[in-house]
Amino acid sequence: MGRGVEHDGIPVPPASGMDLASLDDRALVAACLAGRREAFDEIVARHRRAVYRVCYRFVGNHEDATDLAQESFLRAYRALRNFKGESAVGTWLHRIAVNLSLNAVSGRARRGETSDDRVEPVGLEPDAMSRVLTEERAERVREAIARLPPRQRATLILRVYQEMSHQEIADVLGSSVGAVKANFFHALNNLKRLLDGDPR
Amino acid sequence: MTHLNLDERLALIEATDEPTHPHLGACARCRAEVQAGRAALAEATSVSVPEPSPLFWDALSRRVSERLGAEDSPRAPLGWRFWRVLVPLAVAVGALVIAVGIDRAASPRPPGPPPPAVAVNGDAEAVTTPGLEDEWAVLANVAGEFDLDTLADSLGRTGQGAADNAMWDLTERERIELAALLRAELQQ
Repeated sequence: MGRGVEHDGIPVPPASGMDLASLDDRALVAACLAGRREAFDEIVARHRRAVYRVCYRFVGNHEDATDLAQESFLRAYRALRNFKGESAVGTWLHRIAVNLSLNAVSGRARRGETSDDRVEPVGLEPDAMSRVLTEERAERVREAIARLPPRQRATLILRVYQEMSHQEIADVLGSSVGAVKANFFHALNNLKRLLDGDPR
Repeated sequence: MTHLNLDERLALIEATDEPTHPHLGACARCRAEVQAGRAALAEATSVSVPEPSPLFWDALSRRVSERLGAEDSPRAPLGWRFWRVLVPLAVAVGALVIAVGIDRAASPRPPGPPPPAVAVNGDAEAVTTPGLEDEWAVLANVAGEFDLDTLADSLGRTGQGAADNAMWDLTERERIELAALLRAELQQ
């Protein structure tokens, strides 16, 4: 494959015969900025699961998580030229998704809505009952996480569910590694307190 | 007694195996904190995200792609957008001015009375210099044949009303600069 043009110093392979799947994220961004929108489709394909899951962790339901994931990618596309490559594309997408999700849940909290869509167990078989009880416990944990202060909540979600390093979380949240560690520690303490029924 | 620092506590909380640290045996406070942290972490970890249908991921990609298809390309930086619109417009205005100049040269007017003083009040409609009316007529003729959407196409923008959209894309500062440039061209 011949060497193509350069965009911001990153070589962009020629369109013909270009295998987008073989490009790394930065090269995909460069290709997209050079006018190949299908390169962004590849970025979406690579990161859609992680972005959806982080959104789901914030809002707790499939519909809102889908909308937020979609909006995250749209925002990323519109701001693609502002992406300086200082962090990984995945980190950048997480930052957008986390900010959108935090805004969504804070807006919902102001309107007094919850993410609770539990179904009450009525006359279920033992297996099903066990599953419901497990789900109830999970719901309690989700509710407790939802009650954490935004920074602690975001830190906990990124650390526990997205399995990010402290440094990656610091990049996403725009804070220091020390602050991330402190937030994570306080998040766990507060989560335990909330699960134990201490409303402080 | 020196308690465990934050890094040490987190390391023990996140340790896969049962935490062992000499300090934990002697300090009830640190031991309780580490145990509470490990319990909370275990609770949090046990909550999974329901896996959507395998078809969902492609559907999500399609939704994003369709929305993007309805939008323009990624927003160019300010300078790029600015010059992309401004330069061709300036060229077009220049061409109009030249056309007016040629028309004036081809049909010289007899010397007449000096033009009336123009009130500088920013109201272009109020300026009624008789000699300028012919020039505006020529300008209107030429402009009538000038298709802004064709210009927009030449800029890489397509679609109905693309030229209008291009104008609306300009920021306030860009519009002011464009207006100043147009005024300068018209005054030449």
